[in-house]
Amino acid sequence: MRNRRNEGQEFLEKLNRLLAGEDVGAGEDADEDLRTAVEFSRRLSGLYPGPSPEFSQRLRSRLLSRLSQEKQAAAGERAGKGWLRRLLARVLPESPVWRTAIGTAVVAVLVVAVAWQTGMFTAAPTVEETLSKSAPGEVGVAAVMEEGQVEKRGEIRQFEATEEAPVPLVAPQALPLGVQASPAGPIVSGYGQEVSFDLVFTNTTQETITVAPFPPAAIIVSSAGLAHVRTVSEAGGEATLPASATVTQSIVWDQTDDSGDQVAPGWYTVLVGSVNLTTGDESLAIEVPAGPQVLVEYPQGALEASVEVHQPEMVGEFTVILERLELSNLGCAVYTTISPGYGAPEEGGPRLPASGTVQVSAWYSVDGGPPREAGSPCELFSEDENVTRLSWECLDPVPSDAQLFTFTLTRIGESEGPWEFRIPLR
Amino acid sequence: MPDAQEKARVSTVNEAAIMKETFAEFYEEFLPKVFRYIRYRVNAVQVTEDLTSEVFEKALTNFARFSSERASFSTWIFTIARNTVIDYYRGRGRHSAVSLEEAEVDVPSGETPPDEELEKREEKERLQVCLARLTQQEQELVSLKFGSGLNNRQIADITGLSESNVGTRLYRTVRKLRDMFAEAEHA
Repeated sequence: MRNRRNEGQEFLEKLNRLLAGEDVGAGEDADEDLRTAVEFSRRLSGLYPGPSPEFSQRLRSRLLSRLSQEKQAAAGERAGKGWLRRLLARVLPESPVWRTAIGTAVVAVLVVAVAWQTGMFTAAPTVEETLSKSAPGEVGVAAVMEEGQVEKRGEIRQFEATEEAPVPLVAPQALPLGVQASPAGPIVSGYGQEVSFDLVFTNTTQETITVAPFPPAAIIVSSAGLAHVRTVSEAGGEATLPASATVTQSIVWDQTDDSGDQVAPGWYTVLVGSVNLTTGDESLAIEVPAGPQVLVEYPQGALEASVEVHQPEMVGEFTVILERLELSNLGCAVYTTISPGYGAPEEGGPRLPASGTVQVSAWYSVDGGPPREAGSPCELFSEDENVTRLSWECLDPVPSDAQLFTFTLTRIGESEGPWEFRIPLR
Repeated sequence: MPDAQEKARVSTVNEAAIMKETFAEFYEEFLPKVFRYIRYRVNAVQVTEDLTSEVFEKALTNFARFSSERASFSTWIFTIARNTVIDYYRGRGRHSAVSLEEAEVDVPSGETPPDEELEKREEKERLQVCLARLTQQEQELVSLKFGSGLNNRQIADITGLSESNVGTRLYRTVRKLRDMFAEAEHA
């Protein structure tokens, strides 16, 4: 009888061949466990198709056109500098004295011209004059605040002037079934309270359609690890929708998991299963992306503070400084500096990969509780200081009576840690 | 004979052509893999297309700084893809309003009989639900293996696990998923 290790190796060999497109059988002498695992792998490998040719071509054109434009600009800049230098070499006399005299004269003329343009030689306009020059309704810079039901406390939000929206390459496809969550934004819910929201499905066509399953399956997962927490709606039944009609799926979650236990405070995500639409002889599958995010609050409330830490921790070749913690009712953010950063390291010294690609593993816990995955950080490389700034800005809130916050980086690039920080909160 | 400026211009143009060609080659090779990886992680075509575009935009922005001495292109691009997916899930609810208007359509091929089509869809749905029930790391392994078709060495480089550990966990995850699927089928 095979042992489990050999069986695992056999499975991987067959899986690799299967994924390479070979027709693989489990083998006559294979046991049931291995045979069904291989068979199941066949189903799993065909679950999703690759990108459509239209999408591939569109993205390719966009990327390569961007690359060409950037390089042309760079080449033009270099060529422009060469042209200017050559022109100056021809125009200017070779004598250094004459060159200095001409240069001084050119600078003087430029200074006068700039001063003239800025209005230094004219009287400043009055307020009335300024106003009268603006056309009615004309706005110089339009700033539009993005929609959002929740704003983090202490977070500085920057809103940039809007630009003209780019013209889409392909007209958006009209969807036969619109799906809207109500409320649309994140839901903040007190500990132990019921969370309820609606999913409103609208038939946007002029024909009657059948939606099945209705209601679709809906599950709650933890936002941090995306681990299954609770099935809040089983898939089943169907709904017939006349033209422009709507049907609502009301979901209520009592904040318990599948075992009936109250879930821990933190962020959760609602995932909704796909539905099939039928009209006449035609049938379409509609996939519904993740639904609203739900924050389960601490019964005692969350700690709201900014904690300056500036604690260094050196392991191997990297020094990590935990700069500060930002704690709010909606979450927690950890800011660190790692040196050396990306750039030109000493010969044989440590290196971090290019911006946006640093592989970092980190977890955190409160008062020695269960570790939670910190996820992917935001990254900023500072070339001047040769440091990389990493920040985790979407961690769960910390309870108001917490005493100790532990943050551990287990891995930075190829280097193993841990870089551990224990931060007293009192 | 061209002067120094002209040489610099020609050199820039040549570099640009080589870079364009190299990036285009990488794109052709990795687009389907990255797309399918993301497709296994997010259950929506439109979101997959958006995130795939984002991954390649980021890759293009940083392409000049990519060094094959530090990491292979597959490790590099999948690290970007992995972070992009995690950011999508973590960031969408906290910083922006959630809209479900992103639902999109899978048009059936029309070559399969309706009964078979329906059966396939039901099977697909069950698989999707089962996949969503896996831990993040398990989903990651399944997506990298079945979505992108990477070998265990490549997956080890991306996830930080050892090569043998990747194999062991993968086998365990497939059996877990199989059992969950069978349970869902009989429910």
